[in-house]
Amino acid sequence: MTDRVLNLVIFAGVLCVVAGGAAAVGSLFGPARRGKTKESPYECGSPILNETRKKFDVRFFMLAMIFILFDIETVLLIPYAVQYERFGVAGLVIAGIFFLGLVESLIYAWKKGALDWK
Amino acid sequence: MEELFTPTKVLILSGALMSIGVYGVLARRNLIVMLMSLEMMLVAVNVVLVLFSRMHASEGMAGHVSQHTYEAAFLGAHTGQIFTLMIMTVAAGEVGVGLAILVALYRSRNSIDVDQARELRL
Amino acid sequence: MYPLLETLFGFDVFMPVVWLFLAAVVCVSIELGAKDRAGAKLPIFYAALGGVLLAFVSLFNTWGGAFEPHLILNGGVMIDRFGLFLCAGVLIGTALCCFTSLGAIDRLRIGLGDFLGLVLVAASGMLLLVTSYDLIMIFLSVELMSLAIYVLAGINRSSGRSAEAAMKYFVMGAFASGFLVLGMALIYGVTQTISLAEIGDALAAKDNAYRNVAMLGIGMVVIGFAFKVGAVPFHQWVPDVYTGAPTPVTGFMAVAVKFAAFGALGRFVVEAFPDTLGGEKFSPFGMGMFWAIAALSMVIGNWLAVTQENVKRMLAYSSIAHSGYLLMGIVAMQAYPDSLGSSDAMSAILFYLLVYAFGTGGAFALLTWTATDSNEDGGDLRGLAKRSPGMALAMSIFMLSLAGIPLTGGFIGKYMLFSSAIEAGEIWLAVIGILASIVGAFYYLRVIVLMYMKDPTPGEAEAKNADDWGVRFALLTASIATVVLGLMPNPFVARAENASVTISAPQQPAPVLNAAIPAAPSRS
Repeated sequence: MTDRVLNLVIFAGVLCVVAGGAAAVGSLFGPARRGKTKESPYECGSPILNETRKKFDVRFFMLAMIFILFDIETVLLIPYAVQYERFGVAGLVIAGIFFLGLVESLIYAWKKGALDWK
Repeated sequence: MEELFTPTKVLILSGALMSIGVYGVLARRNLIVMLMSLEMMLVAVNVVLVLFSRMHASEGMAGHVSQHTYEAAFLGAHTGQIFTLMIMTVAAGEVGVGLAILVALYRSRNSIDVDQARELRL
Repeated sequence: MYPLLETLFGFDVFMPVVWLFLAAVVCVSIELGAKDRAGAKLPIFYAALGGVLLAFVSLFNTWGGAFEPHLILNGGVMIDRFGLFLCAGVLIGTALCCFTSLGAIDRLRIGLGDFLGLVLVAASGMLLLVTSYDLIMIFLSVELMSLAIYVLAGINRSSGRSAEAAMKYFVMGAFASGFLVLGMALIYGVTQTISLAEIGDALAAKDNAYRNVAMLGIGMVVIGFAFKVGAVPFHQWVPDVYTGAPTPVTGFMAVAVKFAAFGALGRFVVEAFPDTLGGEKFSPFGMGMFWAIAALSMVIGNWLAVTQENVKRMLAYSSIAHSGYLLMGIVAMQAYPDSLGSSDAMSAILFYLLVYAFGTGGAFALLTWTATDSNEDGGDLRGLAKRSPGMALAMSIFMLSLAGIPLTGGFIGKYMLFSSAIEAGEIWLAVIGILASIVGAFYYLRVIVLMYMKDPTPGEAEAKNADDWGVRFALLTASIATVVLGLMPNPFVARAENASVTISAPQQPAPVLNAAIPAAPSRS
């Protein structure tokens, strides 16, 4: 085992001991008084406005989907971009067709109202 | 000094990722968590592919003197990394489709718990 | 073959895929631009059908030309008659789906352009799958096919069952493709190549400690494909997804996916499996696995199909059983000691796939026709002969063919499959298969009894469907094809044999045709 790995292991071990020990000491010796105020996220501060576990609006999911697709699909252009000189005009045409597909799907999402926030 | 990331360690990492993914898909009932676990399985494969690609590159390109054979070995060894890019894009498509199905399922029965989806007999 | 495109692009393109992709783009564009959905239906239908026909024409062009099997796209796609035959089968399934969806689309509350666009994209993925020759292409085309079909299964947004089917299919499918791609990664890691032929050579030649890892990888890939074809024990999704998905989609899944997955599996087995492992014959490992999957699929598929009341669900279980018969062909292919015999087994698989395509595609088309708003499955076939004799006759033909009764295509297909299994020495597997198909005949004949001997359920309205000419045409074509395949199978068998010789014969490395792109040199 190298020094660096050993350091990491020691660091992780100390971390676990300190954090776990603090939590254990707290739960062992601390008085346990439970109540509504005690369990609220901010014990001293402004009163809670609403639930923390809110349901997300479905529009977030729609945007996430569209973002992920258009964001990641451009990754497919990387292998082409690295080697574009080998492929010449033909490669340009193929990459253009690929882009056409992306643009078509963007227009589709737009027309179907997936990009509107209302 | 010895290398920090030996193939064995990387394989163990990838195996752990794969196991977490498989466990998540099989044991969890929340569709979003299952989706995340499916992604984790693909990530594990990506790690393996990058590792193999690197191993092949270091062992395959050492002996080549001429430019041509070196390039051939280079391309062959880096197939794994291209494969990784492809898997990443496919994973994105999978997430998109999965989220779309999730939204459709939620709209039809107000829950994404897979156990409650049993209108069709198993 | 395509001088214009060759000069334009500088290299050979697999045109059928291009046609299908363009047709999909046109379909979606018409849907987007159309003012009213009903008026756009026919133009979209013709655009999709035109794409399929153009793809067919260019397939036949390639088939007819005197050509050697060759690799295109840097060794990613193999153009040989095996692939072309399977492409034709996929296109048949796609065309049947186009015709059956024409009337059924109104019940799905979605535009025909969106629907057929997805179908065409899935079909182009299938065409690539049956011709792909390296691991990356196989993975990409499997995913292109699957992602489109997950969406198609859940395309009826007003039905909870459809969404549920899509969810089940998606989770199981993505899980299986995770294993598929892990297997591919292991194979690549050991053999240092992704080309199928080089994988087989590397595994046969190498004598290293890591070969077992590659074997594990091959096992995972085979499991991934076994999932796609719905073989036991990876079949749990089949009945639910087949029942929950809209009926035209189910027909498409049953026909085209089976063609594509069995094509890719067959090619993978022939090319990537090593003939020998360090001097020993390879088959025991592979055969044991395939033997068990085939026997289980035949027995369990037929057994569970008998207990079903819903015809759509019964057909789902029967498709599991048919996967078993086809896997028996793959076992036979591996068991033959010589390549001539294994090419016989392969041609039996191809012919059986063709017969199965028309039988099952036709049966699902009929269920599309009998479906009503209250009964989406179209399961009420009671007394169909009294209501519409022609439809009942067509359904009887499909059922007889699927059961393997003489004078239909199914008999010839089953005969070829079982005889190749027996000649290969797999007597017990053939006996299991024959017993299982006798059980199978029972539930197919029960449908015929239901149609001819029972009285119709009162109040079954179907005047709405009577003018659905798309389904009528699909049914007519499928039933004629089934009878023709049974009465004069020779031209089709000859083509299937022609197709399988190119893949099973020991071959020289195929030339890579790429004018402009310098081929990435192989590492060997």
